This record gives sequence, C-alpha cells and structure tokens, in this order.
Amino acid sequence: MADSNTHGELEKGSSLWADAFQRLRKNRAALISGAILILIALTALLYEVVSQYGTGFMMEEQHTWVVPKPPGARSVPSHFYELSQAGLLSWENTDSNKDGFVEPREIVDAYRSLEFSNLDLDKSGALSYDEYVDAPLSRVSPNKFIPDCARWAMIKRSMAPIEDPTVFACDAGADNLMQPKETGKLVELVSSGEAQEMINRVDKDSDGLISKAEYVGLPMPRTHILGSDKLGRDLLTRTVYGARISLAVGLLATLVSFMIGVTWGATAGFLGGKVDNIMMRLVDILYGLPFMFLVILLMVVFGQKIYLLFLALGAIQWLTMARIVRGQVISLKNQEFVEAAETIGVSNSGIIFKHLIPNALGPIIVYATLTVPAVMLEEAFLSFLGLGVQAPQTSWGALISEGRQLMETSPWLIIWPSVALAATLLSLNFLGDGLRDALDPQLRKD
Amino acid sequence: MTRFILRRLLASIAVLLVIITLSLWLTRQAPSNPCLKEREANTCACVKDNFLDRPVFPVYSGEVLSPVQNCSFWKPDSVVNLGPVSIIGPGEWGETQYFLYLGTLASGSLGQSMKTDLTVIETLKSGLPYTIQLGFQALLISLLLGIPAGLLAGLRQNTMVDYSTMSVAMVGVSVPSIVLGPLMIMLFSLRLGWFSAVGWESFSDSILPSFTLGLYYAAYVARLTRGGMLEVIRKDYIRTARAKGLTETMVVMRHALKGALLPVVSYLGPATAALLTGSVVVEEIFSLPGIGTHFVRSALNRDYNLVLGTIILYSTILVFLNMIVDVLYTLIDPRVSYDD
Repeated sequence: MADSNTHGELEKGSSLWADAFQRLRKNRAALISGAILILIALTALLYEVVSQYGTGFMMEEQHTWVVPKPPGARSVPSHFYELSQAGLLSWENTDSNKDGFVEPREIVDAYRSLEFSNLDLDKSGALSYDEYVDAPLSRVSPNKFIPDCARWAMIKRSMAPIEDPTVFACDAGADNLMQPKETGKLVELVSSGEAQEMINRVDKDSDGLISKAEYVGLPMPRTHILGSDKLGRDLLTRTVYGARISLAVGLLATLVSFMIGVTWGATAGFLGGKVDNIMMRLVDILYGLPFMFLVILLMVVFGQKIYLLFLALGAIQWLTMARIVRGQVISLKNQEFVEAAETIGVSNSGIIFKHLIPNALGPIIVYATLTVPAVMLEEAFLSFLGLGVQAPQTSWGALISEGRQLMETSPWLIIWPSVALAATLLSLNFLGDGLRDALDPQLRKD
Repeated sequence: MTRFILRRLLASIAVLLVIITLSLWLTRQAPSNPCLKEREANTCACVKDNFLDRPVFPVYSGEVLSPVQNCSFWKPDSVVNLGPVSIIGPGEWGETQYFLYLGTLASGSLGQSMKTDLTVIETLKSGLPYTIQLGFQALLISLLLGIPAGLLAGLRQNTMVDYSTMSVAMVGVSVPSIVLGPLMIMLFSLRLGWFSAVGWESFSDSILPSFTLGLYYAAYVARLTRGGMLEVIRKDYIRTARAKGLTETMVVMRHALKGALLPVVSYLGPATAALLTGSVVVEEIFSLPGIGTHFVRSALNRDYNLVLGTIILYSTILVFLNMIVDVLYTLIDPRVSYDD
C-alpha cells in the first residue's frame, strides 16, 4: 500500500464480484461442476444436432424390437440419411452421359457405387448381413450440412417405399437438373425397418447377399451407445432430450420462485412494521405444509401440462427466498456503507445499483443455484410417479421410472438416466456450495 | 407458555382450514367427475346413500349415468331423485357443499371412497402403520448416522476425516431416492438376494425402504450438524469450559453438543414434511401398501374423497408436528421467547 502510494498510484480495488471470482477459481470441485453443467446444458440445448449427427436416432423413433437392446447394439435409423459423400464424387464420374449436367439418377448411381464399395469389405461384389450391419460408420460419416429445403422434402416424402428411392434435391434453379454447386445439398430418404428385414426386401434372388445390382442405397445402421428401450428407442437420444426437459423445468421453476420470493421479501423488508410481520408470519405458516400433495392434486386436476409443472413447483419454492431477500433488504437499508455513500453525495440510483443490489445479490444467487437441484428433484419425483411430464415428452425422472420396470433384465435403462440425474444434482450442489463460499466468506463454515 | 401453545394451536387449525378449502376447491375444478367416468368397474360408491357422495360431487341434472353393475339400489332413472343437491353445476359448488363437507369432518368422518367399498378412514387406517414405521425408521437412520458423522467432521475440521465425510454427505444429498432405491434393489435383492425386492411382509422388508428414504436426510443432518458444531466450538463459553480444565469429551458432550444440534432441531419440522412427501416415492419404488401409494392411486383414479382425506391427514400430522417442534425449540434454546 505504502509502496504504491509513493509512486503516486492508488491501489486498484477489486469489486465484490472480482473477489468472489478469485475465490471461486481456487475451488476445484466447483469449477469442475460448473464445466460439467455447461457441457450437460449445451448437449441439452443442441438436442436436434445431437440426435441428427451424433446418435443418428430421434427421440420417439421406434424400432421393431420386443426386448431392449444393450449398449453397443445397432439399429437402422428409420428417418433419413444423407447422400453424405456427394462431395467425394468427382463431377466427371458422376455425369455418366457427359451432357454437362448431373441428373438426379446419375448422382444416385454414383453415390451407391461408392457406398457399396465402402460396405463391401471383402470385395466379393456382394454384401452379406454382417457387412451391412457392421459397416464402419466412419466411412459413411455424415456431411454436416442439411439445408432446410432438403429437410422439408425429407419430411414430406418420409413414407417413400424403399424400392423406389427418390432423390430430393435443392434444385435452386428449379430446372430439374443439378448444377455442380447444388449437389452438396442432396439428401436421399429411405424408409427402413431392421437390417435383416431390409436385406430380405432388396435381396431379389434370395441368396442372403445383396449384389451390386440389388443394392439400392440402404440406410446405415447406427450404434445405440447407451442401448435402447423395449420399443427400440435410443436411450442416449432420449436421455439428452430428458436433460432438456429436466433442466428447463429446474431453471424456469427457479425463475418463478425467484420472482415471487424477491417481490414478497423485498416488499416485506421495505415496508417493515405490521405489514412485514403479517407477511412473514404467513411464510412461517406455509413452511410446514405438504405442498407436494397439492402439486400432485393440481397436476391431476388440470392435466399434466409442462408450464403448470414449473409454475406449481416454483410457487412452492419461494418461501426461503422471501426470507433471505427480506433479511438482506432490512440489514442493508440501515447500514453504514449506505450512509457513507449518501454523505459523499452518491445519488439514490447510485446507492441502489452500486451498493444495495450487488450486496443483496450474492445470497440470492447462491440460494437460486441451490433451488435448481431441489426443483429438479421434485420434477423427477413427479415424473417418476407418472404425474409429471407426459409422453411423448420425457424427462430423467420419467426415464428412470420406465427403466425401473425392466431393471432386472436391462439394467442400462435405469443406470444411465440415473447417472445423468445424480451427476447434474451433484454438480449443482457443488457449484452452489462453491458460490456460497466465494460470495459470502463470512457464511463459510470453516 | 400455555398462551404460546394455545396461540400456535389456533394458528394450526386455521392453516388446516385453508388446506381443506384449497384442496376441496381444487377437486371441484376437475373437469371429470368420478361418477361420470365409467372406465373403472366400481362406481357403486358414487350413488350409495352416503352423506358425502351426493353433496360433494355434483351429478349434472339431465345427464343419464350409465348403469352401474352389481349395484342393486341403482336405477338409471333415479338421477332425478337424488335430491336438490344433484343439480349443482360444476361451476357453482358454493358454500352448500363446503359446509356439508366441513360438517362431515366435524362428525369424525372422511366419507366414502369413490372407487372401493371401504370408507376413507378404513383405507387410511390400513396404510398408516406402514407409512409411520417407514418414516420413523428413516428419521432414526438420519439422526443416528447424520449427527455422529457431522460431529466427527466438525471436530476434525479440515482433516481427511472431515473431507471424506462431507464428500459422502454431498453425494448423499445429490442421489435422489428414485435412483438410490432401484440401485439398492438391484444390488441387495436381485444380485445378493438378502432382501425381498418389493412388498412388506416382515421387518426385514422395511430395511431397504427405510435406508432409501433416510440416507438423504442423514447426509443433510450431517451437513447441518457440522455447520452448527463449527459455529459453536469457537464461542467464548466453550473456551471458558476448556479453561476450567474440563476434558474435551466433557466440553463436547456437555456444552457444545446442545448448541450444535440447534440447526438440526429446527430442521426436524421441514424434515418430517419431506419424509412424508418422500415416502410417497419410496412406497412406490418398493410397492409398499402405505398411505402414499393410496394417495397416488386415488389421485390417478380421481377418487377425490380419498385424495381429500389423505391430504387432510398429512396436513394434520405435519401442522401438529411443526407445532411440537416449535415448542421443543423454545425448551432447548432459552433465547427464543414464548411471547413472540
């Protein structure tokens, strides 16, 4: 201090938040938790991308299986696949009749021949069942680009029979001919069943092999990384989708509780006196009530709508928030640093924004962070009882509930959603604890 | 003291009234009437000459109920004979039904289940022992595991003992019972075969459910106790006790323990509420015939009399337990006055 003064400089003060961030950075558990949470949240946010390019399956996509498949088993995605290697085809080879234009038919042929040679591992000129099912997916890795127009065409033609594969192109010139620059947008759609069924259908001479002439561009089997449920739905895809619902309910319900709690607590704290007394007594009374039962009743009576779920869960979580905010408001409004700020002429808005809010925000944020796992837990309970989110939507609680029924024979169905839920709750709790230690060192119990 | 208890008693009754009104109002908003929903076999109870059924559940006049099987006294045309109450529309349930229901409650009845031949009280009576035993054992587990663990961690602060205990506790509060329960079934019932997976025949069947329910709260209690211990152990009166030359054991047992357990005592109220709520899930996991199972089933079946009865029972238990905890708190902590 003295040293810096001799140089005529003021020591640079650090704000509460910079200070807190410094402390948080030293807390390795909280940092790792934060990273895990960001990863989970990003995955949940990008569900569409994950399902299309990662797992290859869609959330509700069913397969003709009566028993759940273990992790690592494969199914043929039924929705679509891309002419992913169109970019690898040379223009000259594709344009087989050399008229300077590539017609859809030519692209299909060229693509199939490339795909076929990729699949035909032993170069026997015919695909066996094993070659088809165990096709190394890296060789047909998808092109990371599906234009919206092609997607629309896929959806419209999703029922196209396999014998008549049709190419839908983003024919920008609408001349029914493909320009070289349009080929990258090609998407082919084939409806499918399971691999064997697929082979049986195209194997016209019934020798159990698909010859090059028979090969019509089969959809590629994809791996169920975490297995599939008894309807053949991919567990990883559903877990990622469940993350989206579980996290959304957790965050939105916390937001609801945040708004009610801050309003209620701040009003009570500001007004003080009799109003404060009545308002806080009401909170005391509400504390011991079995709210979950009222929420269950609410869900049954008004139907299991998802907005109702987070409204109801938020409406029962605001009590502690109200108490914290009230305490903060009361202790802050009479404190010396506020008086000091007044005496040196800081404006009212300056006091509120520079002094009151940053000081009150810490505990509020900490409590909000700890509310998220509490709400997620309640959502999981409700969904587990069959009273939360409804099919076709799903959440981790609902997945655990489904998995429980088959846990003897297919333990992966309950293990992975459970791991996801427990890891998220653990990370949220660690992060909340870390934030508390960082923002409020006095509260720290050591 | 008597005035304090009296005042808390009055407040508790007021809270109960609010709960009853709220849940009664909620069931009246339901779009479907259990008597008009003919999916379930036994709707006999709906038209029984029962004091509660008719007034509480409006039968819309002019609407012909489909015939109920095995119900000798039911004739399809008797809908007009159900009396004046039968023409109360869905939107105007009003004070008539409300006071009729309160009157029934005052007479010591919770009415008839709308789906079975049992009364609500009979149904609840069959489930209550399981739920109470489960809750009590879980509470015992949480206190017996949580308090020693918390004390140990607090006394050995910032040592390996502290870190490992608190890490376990952190995992404990983060692994929900819907994860822990099936996991324990998979390990102890299916793999090792030590316990039966579902049902409740003997005491050994209650062990897994009790641990599933209790471990979360044990972890929470451990965290609370550690926090309380750390707060107390630096107080002046502890230093005085040590200065007097008391042994460490005496200091902890006689002086620190009481203060350290205050947060745990004040948590007992919310914990009981949470244990009851949690027992709904645990009963579902282990297929126990407790009240929670009845509640979920009745809510899904729209057996509103049973739903109301369960909510009233739970609320009564909770409100009065909270009152007892409050009184206990004033006894342990002399700083809290009765006249507040």
